[in-house]
Amino acid sequence: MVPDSTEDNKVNYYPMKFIDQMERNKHMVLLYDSTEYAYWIISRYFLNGLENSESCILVTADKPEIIEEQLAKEGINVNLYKKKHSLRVYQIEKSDDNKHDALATLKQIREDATKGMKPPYRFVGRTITETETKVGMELGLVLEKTGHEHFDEFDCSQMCYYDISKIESSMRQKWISGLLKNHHYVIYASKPDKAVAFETALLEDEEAL
Amino acid sequence: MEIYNDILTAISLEITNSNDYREDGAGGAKPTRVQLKSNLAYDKFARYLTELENKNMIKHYPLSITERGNDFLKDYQRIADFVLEMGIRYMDSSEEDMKK
Repeated sequence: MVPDSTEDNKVNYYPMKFIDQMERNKHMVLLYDSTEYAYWIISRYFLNGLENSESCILVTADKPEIIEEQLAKEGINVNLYKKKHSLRVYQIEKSDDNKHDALATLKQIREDATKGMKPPYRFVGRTITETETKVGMELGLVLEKTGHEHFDEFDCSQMCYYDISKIESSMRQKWISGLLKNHHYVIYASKPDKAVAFETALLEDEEAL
Repeated sequence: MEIYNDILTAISLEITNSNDYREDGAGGAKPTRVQLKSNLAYDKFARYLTELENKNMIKHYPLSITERGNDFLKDYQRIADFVLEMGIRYMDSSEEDMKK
């Protein structure tokens, strides 16, 4: 599925208004089934931060050059912001073997990834790279839960992104519900008629509590 | 979530159709008429009104919809489609509920 990337389509893409109006220091999950739509959202989220003198960090196990190329394609002056130390693509190891102490892992990544940068911080990324197996997804949920419980201590905005077309299917419902429970906002980057963004609290069934 | 939508829609209709309608909605909707329109027993209706107020989607006195409530009304169908597509129900549903 290749989206029509004309500027009008991007501007009118449903979740953009939500991205522009969201409060700071929120923990959000970006679920996507198309990388192109995901980068529309990530780039807008970063641009808003960069224009507001925030430091933006994308944490990934992929090669930074590939991500930087995508961000540049979406209109971010990557070289300029990198020189100003306000944009960084921070590469983490691909293996999830050393990430079982969830809080220590999150704190270490945050510390290393922000060296030489000034707060406030705007993060994009996820700590767990393996989401195509049950074990990886379960570990991912533990990290997200810990991260969310301690989110105020991190004093930042964070967008965690997941390609839902690749997830292990038998855990899909449990995993997506778990992600929604442990984030303030959800953004679904899909075709324009399906894309949506909202506060996950809307799905809490208070009567059941 | 469906009930939120029913109540907010009823408030919106009630304000718009009210004889003392004011463009800013300051006149408010009559709770008994909203209750009837949303087809809920009084105790349940009262509980949901409190929830909506806690979520800053309505103002209770006079009964009216906030900007956040209006955003919800606008987004409701997309959110409902998302919930359906993801196969999730409500976040406090048990795993057993979700398997049903």
